Amino acid sequence: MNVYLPVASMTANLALLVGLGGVVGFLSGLLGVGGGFLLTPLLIMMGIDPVVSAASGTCSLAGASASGTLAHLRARNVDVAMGSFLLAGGVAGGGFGTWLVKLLRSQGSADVVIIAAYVVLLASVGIVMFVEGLLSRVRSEAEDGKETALCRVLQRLPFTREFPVSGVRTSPLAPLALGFLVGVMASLMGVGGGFFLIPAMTFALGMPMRVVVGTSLFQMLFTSAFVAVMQAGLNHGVDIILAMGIFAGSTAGARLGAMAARRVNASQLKLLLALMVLGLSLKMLNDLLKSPALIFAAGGG
Amino acid sequence: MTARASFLFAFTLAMALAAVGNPATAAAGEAISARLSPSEAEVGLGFDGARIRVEGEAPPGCDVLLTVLGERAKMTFSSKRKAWAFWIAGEKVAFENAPALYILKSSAPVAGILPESKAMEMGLGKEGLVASLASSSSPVQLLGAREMVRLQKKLGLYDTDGGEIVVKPDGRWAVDVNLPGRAPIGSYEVTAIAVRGREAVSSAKALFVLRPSRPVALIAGFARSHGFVYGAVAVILAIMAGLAAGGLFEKR
Repeated sequence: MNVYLPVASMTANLALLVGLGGVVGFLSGLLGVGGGFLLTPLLIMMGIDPVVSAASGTCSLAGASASGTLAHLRARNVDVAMGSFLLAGGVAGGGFGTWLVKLLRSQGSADVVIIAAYVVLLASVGIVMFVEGLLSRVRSEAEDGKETALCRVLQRLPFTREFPVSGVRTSPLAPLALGFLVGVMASLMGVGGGFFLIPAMTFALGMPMRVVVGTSLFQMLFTSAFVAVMQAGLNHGVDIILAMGIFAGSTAGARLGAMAARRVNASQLKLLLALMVLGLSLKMLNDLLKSPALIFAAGGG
Repeated sequence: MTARASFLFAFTLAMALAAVGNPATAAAGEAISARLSPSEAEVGLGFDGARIRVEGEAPPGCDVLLTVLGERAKMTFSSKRKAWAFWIAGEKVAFENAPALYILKSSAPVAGILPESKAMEMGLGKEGLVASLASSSSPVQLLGAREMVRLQKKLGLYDTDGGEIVVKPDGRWAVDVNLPGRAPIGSYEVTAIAVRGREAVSSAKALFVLRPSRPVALIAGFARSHGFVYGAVAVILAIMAGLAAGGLFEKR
C-alpha cells in the first residue's frame, strides 16, 4: 500500500516505511542509539529529499524515544540528573558546532578533515569498545560500570556529587563537557550523538550499561524534539505522514529492543554496539573512497 | 452606393480576407489534435500516480511526437570532487529552467523522425533535453545537465526513451502517459507534434493539472506557512503517540 507524503511531495510504500521504522526502533530500544545514521540514508535511497528525510526521521525519533524513555523510566534505568547535564552540554555544543561548521566550510577543504577525523574517531571508539566487550565477557559481569582511570580523573573536578541512579560520584562538569563534545560532533557530522554518548557514558563516567541506554534515550527525546521543531521552522522539512509511518514501526521496534536488552547481558550489548560503530566507520570510509555512481546529487541549496 | 451594392462589397471583402488571411483554412488537413482524458487528477493521501490517455488525429502520413513537461523551476545539484583520496562535496551547479517532469513519447525512434540538429533545437530526447538544461556549453554545465537527467530518470521524473505511440492508417493516434507518484502538484504542458519528411508539420497543446486534495493542501500549506507551529504540533503528536504506545505495551 502506498501513501502520499504532502511535504516530500511524493508517494512512498507504507509497509517499507513501517519496516524501516521497526529496524531503527529495535536498535534504539536495544542500544539506546538514535538510528539516524541508518534511517536518513535509507530514506534518501527511497528517493525522499535529504532535508525531509533527516527532519522527519528526527520527528519520529522523538516519538520512539518517548516510548523507550517511558519503558526505561518504569524500569528505573534513566538517570534524569545525569541526562539533564548531558542535555544542557549537548545543546550548547550543538550551537557551537553549527557555528564551527560554517567557519570550517568557508575555509575550503575542511570537509575532508572533518570526515576523516570522524572515521578515525569512530573506528577507535569501536575497537576500544569491542576489546572491552570481549574482555568483560572473560571477566565477571559485576565489572560493568566499573571505574576507569578517566573516571577517577573526572572525579577530581570541582562540584563533585552523587548520581544515585547510576551509582557513580562525579563532577557535573564531566557530563556537561561530554554533552558539549557530543553536540559539537553531532553538528559537524549531521548525525545523532548516540554513538559518541554511549561509549562516553560507559568509559568516562563509569555508568552501568543498563542506565546508559535509558539515559541516552531520555537525552535523545529532548534533542530530537528540539531539532525537529527547528528543522520544521527553518527548512520546512518535517513530513508528518512520513514521520508517523516510521514511528508506527519504530515504537513497536523500540519495545522489542527494550525487551531484548533485558535478556542480553552488558558485555553482549557492548560487543553489539562496538560492531555497529565499526561497521558505520567502515561504511563511511567506503563512501569516501569509492567513486560515486553519480558525480552530482540532488539538493545542495 | 445602394444598400445591395454595399452588402455585396462587404461580403466579397470578407471572403477574400478569409481565403488569404487564414492559413488554417489552407492547412486544415495538416493540423494535429490532442485530447486528454482525464485533464486533471486529485492528489490525495492515497495518490499513487496518474494515468493520462492522450489521443487525437494526425495529418496523413505523419509520425507523432509527444512531450509532457512539468512546471519549470530552478534546481540545484551538488557535485562531488576528489580531495586527496576522498570524495567530498564539491561545487554546486544550478539549472535555472529545469522542468519538474519530462516525458517523451513517439510513434518511431526520434532519430528516425527528425534530424539530430532539429531534435536538439526542440529539446527532444536525452541530448536535446541536456542541451535545453545547460545554460552554457561549458563542460561543467553539460556534465551537470547529463548527470541531472540520469538522476531524474532514476527517480522516474524524466523519461527520454520515446516510443509507445500508435498511429492508425486513418491518422488517429493514442498513447497512455503514466505520471509517477512523485510527480509534483501543478500543471503539465502536453504538446503533440506531427512530423513528416523529417520536418515538423503542426503542433497542438493541452494542459493537465494535478491538484492537491483538501488534506494534502492543508498539511503542505500549514508546513510552509507556519513552520515552527507545525513542527511543534508534529513533535507533540509524535511524543503523545509514543507515550500512548508505551502505555499500551505496558498494559499487555
